[in-house]
Amino acid sequence: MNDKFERLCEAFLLAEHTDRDALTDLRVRLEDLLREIGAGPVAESLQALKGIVERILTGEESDPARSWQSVSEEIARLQERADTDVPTLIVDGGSGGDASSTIAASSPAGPPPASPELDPEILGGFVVEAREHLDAADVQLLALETDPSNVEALHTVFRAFHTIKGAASCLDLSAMQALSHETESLLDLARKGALRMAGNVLDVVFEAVDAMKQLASDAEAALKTGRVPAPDAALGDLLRRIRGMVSSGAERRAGPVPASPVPLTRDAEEPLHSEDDPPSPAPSAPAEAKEPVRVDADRLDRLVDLIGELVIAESMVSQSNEVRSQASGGALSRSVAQLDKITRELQEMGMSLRMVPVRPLFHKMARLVRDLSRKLGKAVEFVTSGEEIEIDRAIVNSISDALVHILRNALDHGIEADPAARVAAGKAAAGRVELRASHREGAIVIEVEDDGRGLDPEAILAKAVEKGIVRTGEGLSEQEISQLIFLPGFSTAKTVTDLSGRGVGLDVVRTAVEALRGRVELQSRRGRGTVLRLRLPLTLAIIDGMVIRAGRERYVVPTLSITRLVRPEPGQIVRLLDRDEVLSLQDEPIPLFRLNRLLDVEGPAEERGGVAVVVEEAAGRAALLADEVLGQQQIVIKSLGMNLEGVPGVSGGVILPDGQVGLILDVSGLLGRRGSAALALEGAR
Amino acid sequence: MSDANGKETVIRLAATAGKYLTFGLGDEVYGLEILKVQEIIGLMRVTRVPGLPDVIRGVVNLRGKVIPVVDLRRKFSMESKADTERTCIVVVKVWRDGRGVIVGLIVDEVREVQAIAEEQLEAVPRFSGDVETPFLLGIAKLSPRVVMLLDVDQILSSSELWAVPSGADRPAAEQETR
Repeated sequence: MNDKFERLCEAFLLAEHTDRDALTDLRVRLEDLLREIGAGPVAESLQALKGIVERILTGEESDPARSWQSVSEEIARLQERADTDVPTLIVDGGSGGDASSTIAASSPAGPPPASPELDPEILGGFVVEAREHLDAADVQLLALETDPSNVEALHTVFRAFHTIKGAASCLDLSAMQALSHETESLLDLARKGALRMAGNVLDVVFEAVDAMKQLASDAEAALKTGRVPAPDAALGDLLRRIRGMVSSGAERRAGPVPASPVPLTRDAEEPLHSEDDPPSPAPSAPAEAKEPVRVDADRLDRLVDLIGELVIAESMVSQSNEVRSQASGGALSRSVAQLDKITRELQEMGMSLRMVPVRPLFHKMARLVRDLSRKLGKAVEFVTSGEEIEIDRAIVNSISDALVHILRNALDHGIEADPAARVAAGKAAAGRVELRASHREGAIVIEVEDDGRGLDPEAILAKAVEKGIVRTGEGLSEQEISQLIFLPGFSTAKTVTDLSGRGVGLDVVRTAVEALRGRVELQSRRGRGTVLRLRLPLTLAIIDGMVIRAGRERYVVPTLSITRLVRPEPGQIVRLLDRDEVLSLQDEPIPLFRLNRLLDVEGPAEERGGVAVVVEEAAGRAALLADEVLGQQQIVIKSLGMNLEGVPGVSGGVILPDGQVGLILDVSGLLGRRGSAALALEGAR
Repeated sequence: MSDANGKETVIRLAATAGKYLTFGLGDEVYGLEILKVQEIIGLMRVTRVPGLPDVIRGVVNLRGKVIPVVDLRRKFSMESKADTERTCIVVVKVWRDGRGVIVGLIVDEVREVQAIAEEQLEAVPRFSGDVETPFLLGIAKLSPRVVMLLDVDQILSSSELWAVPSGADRPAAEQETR
């Protein structure tokens, strides 16, 4: 509730008295809060605020500007009162008192963890930075694993822990401080040559990185909920193990060096190392060079939305009849051209703001592959390329799970368990998995390639028959059979392991990628390996779309899902039985749908002519017969509001240049609307 | 705001007094709480969305934002009538699952903003089996006529408007359960 109150105060301070939308929001929130807190001085103030808001809304306030001023003052007073008079507002502020005990037992003089009065901004910033350091440490640890003598990598890892330790102790995050302190001691011994960064030691540092990441997430969660999660019991165990290694390592170093190095001495050494830049591409290096500014993601999204609206407004102006009727070369048309140019540049800039390199994602995957290969006992060489390729932030988040899934498949099913079998097949004993990103044809392509067994068509077919996905394999080519693994309910894992298990097939990957308006392609050569290719749009907010007309309505089909446009000749459209029609394209029948009929478009249906838009998606291939293709354009996707997002066949709206709303057709959904058995078969083949 | 149902009629009546935007629909006059009204816009070309209940005429562009519009005539099972130049869209904000949702209501004509006092109010008569009474906050007697005060949250939360399958997060949910 405290949280609600704070957000309300914030909303009040941000709102303008002229903004009806904000005011109605505020009123509802006030009501909401009032219901919860019951009577009291705070409730009275809130009631008074509600009165003012309502009077402004109804136009009864004679001087809204002035009364709004008094609102701000009232809010400030309220906030002050809430700060001193906490119990009336905070129901569970999560003092974290119980949480400290576990840690205090194992940490040197641990002050209580994450105190609620911490400045959220500072703590938030710390979490972000800690994550960056930890990600960098992860990368360097992987480098150390291949080359234990890589001193630079070791220094980077050391610095990461050292920096976090300093910040954590300032912020009273005792668990993080304790863990980073111990890990730092361990790394220090390694730096001095008393320990070798390999085997157990390396494993425990990997574990420490994971535990630190968890603690960072906990601290972040504590910011939101006001509750500090109880630390994992495993943490105490990890601390003990690290300490054990530190003391045994120190003993081996025998005598002269103090067993538990004092942080101060290391601070003195620090400048020696921070000056030399790591030659390997540490993720923080380029970022530092460019002086990044941290911006709240929501504000960024809002900015990009606004730019999208500006683009629409601009095209409404430049394509209006008034402007077009002006003589070209006139002052107005010159200004409009200038406006057009600036708008496009702004749009590009806006889009680039959302783009992030895939590097962190790839590093995460490197770590995953390392852990997996150990778990499975398979030696795997993992290679990445194209880490600098940039992609929409939202896409990164949604393909992460898909990539995990694909990589698990590659390691679990792709790479042979027996190195001898690989050697016998003329391949290196260690498996090789590649993760690549590249730009191709205006899209981002992310590929996962393994040099393992490849798909086994017979096993796949047998499984598909067993699962009742297809009846027989007759007439299916190898390519078609390999497509079967994308169907729901298909998973070739013979036993459900905790790796590829869970009975989730590649259909999830496909669904995720198609939800992003992307595509999944698969190439496999038996005995030589498999390539899975995710073709993704550059950005989610804007798509390339083909605007088509059916009757009075205009629709947009994402260009990515269009394979070709055909003006059907008479005789190319064949009617099967009494109503289903197919478009015969190079002797291949494709189910044909007349949009007018499919979407119940008003107005007379044009039986003759038209353009068939051939689309291909998971649900299969289909031809959509439209009256006319109006052209291709970049489209800013708009949610349809309410929960119309779930309408089958429509994936969103778009504001057309004349200000009207057009609908973006979702091909899979459309086909589902008329989903017939014939179509399902078409999809399977 | 689903708990509004459970409240006592008496309390509701007292809370109902206030300012209302009145509008005409067929031969009747209805009132909408002014606090919920965002703005009034002229009727523009509505894009039909296939597969939606009849009550939703489609979507329109409200300054770069796509909002659904509800045909109140259809909602109240009145016979449909050709739009006139007086037909307009009242844009309201309703709350659903803690989220503010902007919706347009197509009405025949907008009349005026009227203050309605408590003594002008009457409780909603209960008709057995009548499905439309939950939409009403109360009835105001403003001579020479009666104004029905609509509970806009109720109108727009009735099941038919939300019968659309929520598909946005389906893939994720599937992944969890399998």
